[in-house]
Amino acid sequence: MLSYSKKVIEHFKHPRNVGEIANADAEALEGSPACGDMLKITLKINEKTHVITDIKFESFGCASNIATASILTEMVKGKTIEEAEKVTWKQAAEELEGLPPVKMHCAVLAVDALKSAIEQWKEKKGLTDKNPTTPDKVLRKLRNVLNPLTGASIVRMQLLRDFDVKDGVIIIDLDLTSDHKFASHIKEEIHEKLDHLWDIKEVKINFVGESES
Amino acid sequence: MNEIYLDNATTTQLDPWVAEEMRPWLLEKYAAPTGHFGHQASLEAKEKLEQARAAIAESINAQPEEIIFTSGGTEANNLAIQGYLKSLKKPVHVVTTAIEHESVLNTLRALQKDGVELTEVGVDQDGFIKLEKFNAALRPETVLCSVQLVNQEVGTIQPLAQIGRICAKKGIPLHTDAVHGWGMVGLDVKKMNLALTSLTAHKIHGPKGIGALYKRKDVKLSPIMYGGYNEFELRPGTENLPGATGMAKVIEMMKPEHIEHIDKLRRMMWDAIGSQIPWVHLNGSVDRGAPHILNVTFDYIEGESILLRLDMQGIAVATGSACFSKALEASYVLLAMGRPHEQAHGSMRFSFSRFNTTEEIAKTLNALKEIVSDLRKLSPLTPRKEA
Repeated sequence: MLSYSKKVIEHFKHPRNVGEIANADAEALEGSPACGDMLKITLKINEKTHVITDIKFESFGCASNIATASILTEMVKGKTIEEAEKVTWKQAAEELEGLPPVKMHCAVLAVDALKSAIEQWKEKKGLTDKNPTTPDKVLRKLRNVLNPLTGASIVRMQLLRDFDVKDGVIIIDLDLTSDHKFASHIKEEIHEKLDHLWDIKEVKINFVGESES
Repeated sequence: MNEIYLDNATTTQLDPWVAEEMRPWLLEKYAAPTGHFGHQASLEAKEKLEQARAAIAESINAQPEEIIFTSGGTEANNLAIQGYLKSLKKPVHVVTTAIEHESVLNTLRALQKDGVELTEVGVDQDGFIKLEKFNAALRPETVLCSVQLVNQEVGTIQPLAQIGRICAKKGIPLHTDAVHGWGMVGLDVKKMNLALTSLTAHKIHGPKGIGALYKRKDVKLSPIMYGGYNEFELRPGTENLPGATGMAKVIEMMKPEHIEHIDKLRRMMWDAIGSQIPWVHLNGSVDRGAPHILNVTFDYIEGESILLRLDMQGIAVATGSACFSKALEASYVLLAMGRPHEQAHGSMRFSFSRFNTTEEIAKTLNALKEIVSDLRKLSPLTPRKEA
């Protein structure tokens, strides 16, 4: 309880913009209940101005999950989608006066859900093409997978030893042992970020870290 | 501090009478009970320590010299398992269950690196060991079995008498982690054919930092810590006499009417949850469970949110959600019982003590009804028709 800021608790107790917009222009469901966090975002977007006129969310998740989604809806309501896309998970966490490192991934989930919804709307309106998954895109996604110990990206923490994208298969080598405390959590997070990419059939994750003993 | 404390399986409040009993041994009679020969204060302390040892032995139908004081359940489990396996000089195989406390499972898993072979027997959907699987897991080279008395998360009481008979027939020593059962459910080391038994005081209103290991006379142990020659040369360190005094008092204080009261609270809570809140599952068993532990899954919502909302109303409980775990993983006990991840995330453990009241349970139920309904309104998974 003490590790959450007052603002997190305030948004957890009284979440803003809860629900589902009927006839939404865009929607996204990120995460899964099996992972312990899941978020649904629905948007109303003005086609001419690109302004987000309404945004609502639903969450199966912990306090920080609910709080980050709530604050994000406040941050982007009334903004254009171009402005909204620039909001980072760090900004969302800062707006909440910080999150414990083990909960930073909740901010990532919220921002990802919003971006997915916007991307989907842009695709629908023919504003973007379906791009193939490039190593660059994979790296960008992996920057959003955090080490719960520090709340920093696994890329920055140099846990990513190697990765490759080939024929719809992504292979990732992590500098962790499979019995590491957070191994299964990080694995789930990576699958969450990459499995749904339209041209990806499989994501293989190898733990190649050397055991200390 | 929380007004209503329903997290008694984690730890309990110290009984004021127990504190009173410990007081002189902390403040005035602080001598170490080390020697048989020594100054008056030391001899008096020694006598008191032996009285405590005898009281604890009696509570489980053991002899005083079969009780080794430790710092708690975790140390008792470590001493039992590491100390016993260390005394053997051959390749060994150990059988345990998938739902043991971490101080058993992680000890055994760490020993695997030293060549110990381990079989973790699964449990059924209610959290009881599968006896036929247990039987099948025993091999000629099996040297130890470790099966808990009561599960720490779902409260199931394992059929230890039956397991003890199976082990006795095959001549395999049986260790039990009785940390969550001592004082709450029947525990008789002779009837259950136990070779080693771990106990702790703080789960039943005793002080923290004191526990004991029962070691049947014929069982050989090696120390796992080195130092002086205390506790039959098996556990060095100045004896925790105030703790031992409190531990002996605590078992004396535990009366059948307390257990009846605790059991009544648990049944009352489950009856109300089951009948008044939709989409819930009991994890464990009402009739074959310990009186003080109730574990319930609330579908479509996550446990940490429930926990925090209850906490805001002054009610302390526990959850099996990954968001609450240090490793961000859902309860391995519930997963071993075959519950899907999402049901483990939505699981809550309510654990009761004799200091809880029916009014507290009623208040908790009211809070719970409101919180569960609120959180379900937020959840994308809740079936909308009946919500």
